[in-house]
Amino acid sequence: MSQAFVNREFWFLAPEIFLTVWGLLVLIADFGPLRDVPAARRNRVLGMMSLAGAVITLFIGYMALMESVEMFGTEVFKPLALNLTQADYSLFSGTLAADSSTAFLNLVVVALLAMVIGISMSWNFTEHVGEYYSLLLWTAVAMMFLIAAEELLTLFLTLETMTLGLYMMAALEKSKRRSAEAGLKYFVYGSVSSALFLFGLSLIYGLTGTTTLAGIQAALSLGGSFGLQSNIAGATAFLLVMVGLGFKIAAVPFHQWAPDTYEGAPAPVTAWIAAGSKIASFVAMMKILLNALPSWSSGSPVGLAAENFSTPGWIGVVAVVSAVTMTYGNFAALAQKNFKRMLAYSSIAHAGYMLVGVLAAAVSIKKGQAAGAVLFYLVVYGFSTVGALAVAAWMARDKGTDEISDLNGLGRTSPMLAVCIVLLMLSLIGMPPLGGFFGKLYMFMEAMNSGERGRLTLQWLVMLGLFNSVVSAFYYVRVLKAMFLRPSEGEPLKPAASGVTWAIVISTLVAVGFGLYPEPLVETMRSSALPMLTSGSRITTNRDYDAERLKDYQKQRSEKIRDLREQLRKKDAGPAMAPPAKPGEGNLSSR
Amino acid sequence: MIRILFGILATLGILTALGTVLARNLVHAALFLVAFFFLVACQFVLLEAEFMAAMQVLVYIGAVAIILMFGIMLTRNIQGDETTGGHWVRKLPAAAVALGMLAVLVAGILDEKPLGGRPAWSAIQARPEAIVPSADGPPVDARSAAIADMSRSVGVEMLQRFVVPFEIAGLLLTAALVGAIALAQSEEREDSSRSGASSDMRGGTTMQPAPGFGVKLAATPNGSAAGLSAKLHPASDTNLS
Amino acid sequence: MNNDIPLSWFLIFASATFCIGLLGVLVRRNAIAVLMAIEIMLNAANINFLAFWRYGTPTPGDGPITGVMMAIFVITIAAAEVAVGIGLILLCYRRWKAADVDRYDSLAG
Repeated sequence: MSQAFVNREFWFLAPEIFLTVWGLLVLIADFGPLRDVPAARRNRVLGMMSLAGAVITLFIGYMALMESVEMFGTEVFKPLALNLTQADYSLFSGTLAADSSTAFLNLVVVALLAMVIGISMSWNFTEHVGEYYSLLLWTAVAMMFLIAAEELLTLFLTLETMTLGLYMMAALEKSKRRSAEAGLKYFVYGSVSSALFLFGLSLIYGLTGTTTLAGIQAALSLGGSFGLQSNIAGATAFLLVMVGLGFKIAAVPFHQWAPDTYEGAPAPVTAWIAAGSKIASFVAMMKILLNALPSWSSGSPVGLAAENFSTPGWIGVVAVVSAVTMTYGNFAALAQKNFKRMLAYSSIAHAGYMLVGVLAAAVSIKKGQAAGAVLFYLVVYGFSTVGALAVAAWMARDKGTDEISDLNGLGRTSPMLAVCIVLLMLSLIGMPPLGGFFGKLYMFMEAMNSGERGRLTLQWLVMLGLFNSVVSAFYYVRVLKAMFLRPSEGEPLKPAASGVTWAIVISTLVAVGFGLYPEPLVETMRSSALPMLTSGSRITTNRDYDAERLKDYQKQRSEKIRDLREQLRKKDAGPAMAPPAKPGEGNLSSR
Repeated sequence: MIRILFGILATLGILTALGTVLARNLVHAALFLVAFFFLVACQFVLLEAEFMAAMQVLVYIGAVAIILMFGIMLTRNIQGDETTGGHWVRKLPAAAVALGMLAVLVAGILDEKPLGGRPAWSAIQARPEAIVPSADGPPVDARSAAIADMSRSVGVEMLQRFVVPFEIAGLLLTAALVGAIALAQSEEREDSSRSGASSDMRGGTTMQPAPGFGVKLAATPNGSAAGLSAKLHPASDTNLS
Repeated sequence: MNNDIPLSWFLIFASATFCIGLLGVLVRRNAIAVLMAIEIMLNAANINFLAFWRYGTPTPGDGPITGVMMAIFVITIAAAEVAVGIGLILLCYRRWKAADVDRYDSLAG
């Protein structure tokens, strides 16, 4: 292949590279021109600067998305969903992926980043403003790389970069003792779990002799044995890996850090941990479980006889973790008086729901559909959580606390935002017709539709999930009760800062918009989930590795662009025109 | 012969690891840890990865152990932790967990089911032969080439296949440096030149410069130099005493 | 005549040190001691990586020295982790005058 094409690899990383450099610039601005400026003013200036960086990155990411779906000037959503599976690159000898899922999730991460920056600007909680914003940008970079990681080394490194940044950000509110404690607890639990995770990875490397996810999948399927019965080394490796992943997503046996860290960390950092890090870790988890280790999922290969299904595999482990996680999270949340702590337990519970979707993807024949449902849920959950934690930032600015009772009377003082918060809470419960409802619906539907063998196993999990949604209503409704039914005691909250208002409004728009009109997002997520989980069929841009295939691909691609333009022209001429229905070839091979 | 050497090194390694974990005095624990790092470097030499052994010595003993020592000294916690003590019965569950883990791991290693025609772990009695490459000899396999000149192989890999992780590692170290300095800095970085929202953070504590750089402060009273010197000496924490 | 070290010896040594590290994490309450135990666990994983690299069957298409690269990056991560950890521990030490995780009490739980 020509050298020019190889050099294009770096263009795929444009959003990440830009954000990294921008983080450095923020840091330089803090230590250079803004040295002697008071912290509150630095917070405003550097916040605006970071926000500008996020917006520019959003633009670059959008361009990358357009590039990856080859949509030159067509409308955004409908053709997107149809064409997404086309561009499916593997970069740098298979260490990173560049496809529609990474491009789209990059956009989600950066949008959440912009909201978190907005929340951070609402009040000044740290002296180390430059460090704070640059760490924020760099953790976003790490999340984007983690979403793209296709290989265990890259995956572990980015996971560590992300969590190390988050440990430090959690502790940056130095005027509060609890912030330091939150950071240290997060650090201790986190680094122990990543040490266990790493040992698990070393065993997987030993078992398969490779670290690429596709290579691991291929090596494990060579053995011809499925599940983990009498495979002690494999079972140990899986359990160790599960500890690490379970920690990052706050699943139950490994969740102890979450309530303390969520409560102690400053509200924007909590939002970032709850939304950004959870999305990135969940994607990494799905890639490891569904892409690298599907052979260990159960005793029989997907789509074959049901009788082997009861033999042990990770499906059983994950099912138990999921059940315990959602039940524990919801019931523990019932007892909380602190708003952030309540959201911590609710975030644990949501991890439990999403594990049901991961299981559905594991047993289902249409695993792209089920994984897409999980991604949809992740996006809606991420935005809703950031919106909810913006409220915590609002309280922290005015009252310095974050008890639920501090919200008393908000329905009278700020009715518009209170209504938005109501919608967010209803979406988190899963009330129709909001985004959270459709997230749960799609996931649970996939679990029920996943063939006979899947239905038998997942039925009780879905039942438990529905029951838990009802339980969760009780504690979310407590927030609504405080806002509308209780009179405010003491001084009411002052009007929210614009960053907080924007964050709440945007997340409400996402929750309502994708509730009323979920198809575009869910279609996009479904079609982008499959390339995410089948890295074996990627087009590599590496040297002469797959030159023939690449040539074919480029030919296809130019034809496709010509088709699209043709249709556009016709469309401009006459409005009655069918969408370009041409499903992708090659990459849709569902196993 | 090499087996005996391995036995000695492994025994010492396990003993020093145990010493690190069980020594009540933290300085002793850190010294045991240095010995452990060194013994792991010896294991790397046994595995014909001398480059890695050098890295191990440089980074772990040269940096990590020193940072840990700094930490021990700065927290003035030489005598170790209070709560670690107590009756040995209270440590039994932890010991049971660790021993159970060991049993499972050893069983897994000895009972490994090989995939696709590979030899089982327990059946590999000797390492694959490494050919010493010579200028006029035949080309050797990648592993032999790496053993003969590992720094070269590592460099090539870092700039080709793992170029992105290499850059991310740079980002990780930068972020860790920036954040760790921000965290470990004492609050007196906020000198009089920065006011506003910082006043509630400082809580009205007056700045008590350590004697070491008091002269410097007196010489440049304009505040920014004071901030700089506090930045340069994050360890000079007056709150400690 | 075969006198080399079997692969399983290295693996069992790594497992043993890993479990010692795990013991340390569970037993110790001092944050610095926990940090040392974590370092032991990371070293154990590194021994595994190098042993598998030296003894294992390389996969075609995969880098020639993946295990070594993994170990190098783990060393990098460990250095960063220790720096961050000591920063956090110092921060907490200033507030509680203690480095024991049990002594921190500002959060319920």
